[in-house]
Amino acid sequence: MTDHEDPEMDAFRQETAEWLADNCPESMRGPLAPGESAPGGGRRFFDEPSDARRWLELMGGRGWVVPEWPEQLGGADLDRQRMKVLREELRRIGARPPLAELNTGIKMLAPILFAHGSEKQQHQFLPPIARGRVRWCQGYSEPEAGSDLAALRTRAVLAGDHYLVNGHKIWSSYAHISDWIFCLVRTGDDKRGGISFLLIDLESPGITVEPITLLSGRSDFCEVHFSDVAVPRDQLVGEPGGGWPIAKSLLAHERAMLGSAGGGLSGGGSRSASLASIVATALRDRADESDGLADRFGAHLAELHALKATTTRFAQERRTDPAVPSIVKLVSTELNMKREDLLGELLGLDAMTWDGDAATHDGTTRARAWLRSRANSIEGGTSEVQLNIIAKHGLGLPQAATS
Amino acid sequence: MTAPILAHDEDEQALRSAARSFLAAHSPISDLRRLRDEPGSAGMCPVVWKKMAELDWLGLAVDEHQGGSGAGYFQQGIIFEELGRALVLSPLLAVAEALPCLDGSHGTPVAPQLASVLAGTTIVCLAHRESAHYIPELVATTARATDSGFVLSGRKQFVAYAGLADELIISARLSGQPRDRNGLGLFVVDSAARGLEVEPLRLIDSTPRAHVRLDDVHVGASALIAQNVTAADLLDRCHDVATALQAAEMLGSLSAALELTVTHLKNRVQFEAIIGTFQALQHRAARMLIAQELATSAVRAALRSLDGSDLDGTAVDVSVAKVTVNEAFSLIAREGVQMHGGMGMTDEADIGLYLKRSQTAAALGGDSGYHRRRIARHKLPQDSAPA
Repeated sequence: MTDHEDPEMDAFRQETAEWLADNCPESMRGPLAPGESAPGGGRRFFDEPSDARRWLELMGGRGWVVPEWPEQLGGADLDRQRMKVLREELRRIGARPPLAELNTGIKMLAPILFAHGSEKQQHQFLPPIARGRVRWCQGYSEPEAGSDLAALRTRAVLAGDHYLVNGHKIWSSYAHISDWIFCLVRTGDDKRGGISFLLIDLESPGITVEPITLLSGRSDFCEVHFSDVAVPRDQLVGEPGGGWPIAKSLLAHERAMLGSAGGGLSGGGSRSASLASIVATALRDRADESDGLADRFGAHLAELHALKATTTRFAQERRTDPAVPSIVKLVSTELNMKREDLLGELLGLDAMTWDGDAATHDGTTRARAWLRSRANSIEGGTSEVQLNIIAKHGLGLPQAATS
Repeated sequence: MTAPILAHDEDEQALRSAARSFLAAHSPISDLRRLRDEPGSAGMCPVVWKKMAELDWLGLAVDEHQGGSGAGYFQQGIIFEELGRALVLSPLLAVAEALPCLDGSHGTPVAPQLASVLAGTTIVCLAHRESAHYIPELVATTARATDSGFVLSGRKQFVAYAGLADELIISARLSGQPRDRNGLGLFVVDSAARGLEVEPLRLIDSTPRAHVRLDDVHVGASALIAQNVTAADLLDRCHDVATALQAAEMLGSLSAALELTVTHLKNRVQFEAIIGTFQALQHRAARMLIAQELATSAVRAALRSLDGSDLDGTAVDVSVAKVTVNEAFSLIAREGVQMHGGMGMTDEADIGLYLKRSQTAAALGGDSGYHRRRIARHKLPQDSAPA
């Protein structure tokens, strides 16, 4: 691995390896246990001492949570070559990610702040994201504004040096354990031209957060109520009334994030392996159905391979049309749902146990995962909304004359 | 492991536009109807065939030392995509399938006729299939050893361009049972040999095919070019090459069929509205585009894989490509006809020609069921894979 590197890169590799050897806690090496996940960060996480917190502090302090970001905004200014070396050295010692991969602050808000935030906003908000100090959530949907997002009603009225916010957001993932929320609010009456993008501290007086219990029995999603919440006016990103284009570009980042997660593209190897072992067991137990089972498994793998090749190709082609994240989001979420369906069929009633002494942890986990997967085609823009986007931007089909 | 390059570079884009211009000028889709309808049609245009050879389309994946250009299957796939777009009738796929037997790349000597095959003057095809279904391991045709060579008996089915071939490469069994992997031989046989009878037929897409009857066909000892494991491995290679190139051809066809249909959706007016504004149709059309994008990526991954050296990976990538194009082409052709309405059922509209091709192409290089089970076989632990 080190054969053909120039001396400068060799030195960086050595320095990196030494630092990691000295600083990565032993308990943060090796894979996560089943059901365990990397931390989401935030104030609550930093309240409790732990090895995971120490690891995040050390990596964040070095700018290595987001090593490609500029140093003064919390990154380490690493070029591609050094990024590769860092990744290789982390992998070599089996280091866990200091922060969970699907981080709303890093993946969704940060690209918006880089593109549209003022210099003051960038310096205020990006470094805490880079260190995992502040956990962000999204305030987009409302009870009367789902797929028709621009119908949102939460209002922000300017009163001197702050806005007064009143309204009701729904489906804010992890709002109950987040610190800040980025919201779409109405500052004017024009359906799209009256929308603004506002950053709000969830500790502000007048905010209540309530988790929503889902079919799976879990509650990752929340409702957030705003009652006369005062928000400094300099926390509005872009121009007043300029929030809609920002909102749409953020949704594309969200689709890309969900797309990379939904199809099991991250950690896909181990996910396929676990499916393969369950199929293998089913083939042994139900030899008379082996052709059909092999057919279903082959169909799933074919789609997974084709999707992986497609994300590879899109990245290489540097395609930027809005249809691209929609295609990836739609296909990968449907693939994940089909995977859960297939697992359910392979395991039968064992994958539907809910509670009681005889219910197994694994069975109940499967049952919850299947129920949870039904949301994949709804969250982050329903599959129907993605199809609208693909028809318009991918095929150039004309739009019907509606409002 | 680094990801394979699946985007086209400038040279590849130039190759595509050159091929498209050439075919627009020399082999428009109207030629398909002409070749279909003319009495005694050969099912190909000799002038165009000669030009294809001059453009070196036959030798793209053949090593430079053997008279090819050595560009590889990834580039040859671009040519096949363009052939598929225009639904060109030619023996190119049939010859490409046989080339690994002739070019010395897979354990057989370089064939003396290779240069004339690459020049388009000699046509050599692989005669292997023995069923209406895709069962590549099935070889019941026998080869009995004699003092001076072998005697072949059996019947090959649906062999593309067998009627035009100067020579056929025939798979036959030296020993064992019809589905054994061991005991196979590959024989180069003159198509005018005594006892060899070509029974011509065409499928709905107008490609000329034939059953080949072998009644005690005597061949010399030198006709045997590969046997046992070498023969079986060589056949696998021929099938993977042909399947991947056919998948590329299908990709071109389904892309053209999608374009035809989208153009129709943008122009056809009913209920005082362009029908492409109807959400019911938009969502179905969007599904067609998704299928086309997945097919594009899967085909390119398979072609890249053929140019590499990972055999197990190639088998999976080729099967993924065939499953993906089968489904995409089937969806786009069927929906295309439906969205064209009554016009889609007429011989005048091109969309129906693509529907016919989609039906034969899905069955020819292996149907989806075959390839799905092949993927599963390669991806399951050895002891659990079904036979």
